[in-house]
Amino acid sequence: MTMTRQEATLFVYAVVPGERELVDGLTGLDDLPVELVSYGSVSAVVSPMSADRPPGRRADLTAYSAVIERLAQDGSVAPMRFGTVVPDHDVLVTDLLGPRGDELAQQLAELEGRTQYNLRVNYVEEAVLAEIAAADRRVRNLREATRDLPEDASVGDRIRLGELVTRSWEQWSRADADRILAELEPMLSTYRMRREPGLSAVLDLALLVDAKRSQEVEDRLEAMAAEAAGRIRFRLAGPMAPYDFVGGG
Amino acid sequence: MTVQTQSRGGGYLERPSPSSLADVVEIILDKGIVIDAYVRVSLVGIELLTIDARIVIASVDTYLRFAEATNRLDLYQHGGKDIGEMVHDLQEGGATGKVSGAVKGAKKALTSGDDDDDEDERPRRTRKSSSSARRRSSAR
Repeated sequence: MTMTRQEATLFVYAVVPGERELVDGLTGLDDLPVELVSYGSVSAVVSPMSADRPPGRRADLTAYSAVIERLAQDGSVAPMRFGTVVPDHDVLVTDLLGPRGDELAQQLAELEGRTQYNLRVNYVEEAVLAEIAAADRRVRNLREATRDLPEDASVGDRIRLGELVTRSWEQWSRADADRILAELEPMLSTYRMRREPGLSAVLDLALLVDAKRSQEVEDRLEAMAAEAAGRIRFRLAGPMAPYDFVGGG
Repeated sequence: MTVQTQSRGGGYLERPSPSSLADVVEIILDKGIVIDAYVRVSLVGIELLTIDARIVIASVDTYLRFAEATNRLDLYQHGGKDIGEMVHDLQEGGATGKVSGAVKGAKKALTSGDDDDDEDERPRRTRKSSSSARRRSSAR
């Protein structure tokens, strides 16, 4: 086997249904033209890439995302993990489209007409801390005991205070998460937790929504955000390609 | 990040700009179909950002941070007199529901005040929440 220097490799964006055609002029990383590699009932979307660097620049990330979002406008799309680079067409067929073609085709069929949103729900820190203090006399007492002391004079009390506050915060977080999810769930095809409810977020979710119900979901969230304004913040990204509902990785 | 959000309609629901790098990273990181042995990534200068967002430190540091935030909180300024009065009236235990209801009432009162003076109040609220978001992310 001679070691020939690989001149170009293929950057892989996504898998789409085999009957899909690309819009003219679609370009990807380094503004190179995007093309299809078809096999059976699915196609991989690729563009050539110089072998001498791994992808990872800002421009690479945004180009990858732009190609996938463009594909998502025309039908279902199963994004590949960012950074998937294969040596040539043959590897795509032997390692992906051949062995996993049927599974991918089925996944694409299930994703047809559906779109992803990412929903992040966070507490407004000042508001919820004030509620916790109002609800728990021990928190108020420890606060009075520690707030005007130098830090090293009250470490034990501060830790105790923080422990009480974080425990309430987590409990309230989980309760609010359950309540919000219960209200949303009937409108969703499905959802995934990106993070468990807790200190860092009340909810961090990927929602899979039937495109016909997108407006309904957005309107409901707007109403929920308005009602909770000042206490809970709702942040909705999307619609976007179903990154969280493919693969299984 | 709040700076990049755009308001549509009522505008309480934050809608991040789809093209911001932080959001793209957040959306795509570790997602998608994997072909084993064929993922090559070198995220230059982006790694730290994503690691930050993933780690929740459940430790004394977290407790101290929450304690500090609680102490920094000016209950009498933000919650108004209501909280002070409630604190007075409160007996230990069992009153949680009543208290959060009352706090909500106080918040509502403040919020409807905002509505009368929309232009002035909204940006102030946004600034507050973005600074608390910064503090939160730095502690993750």
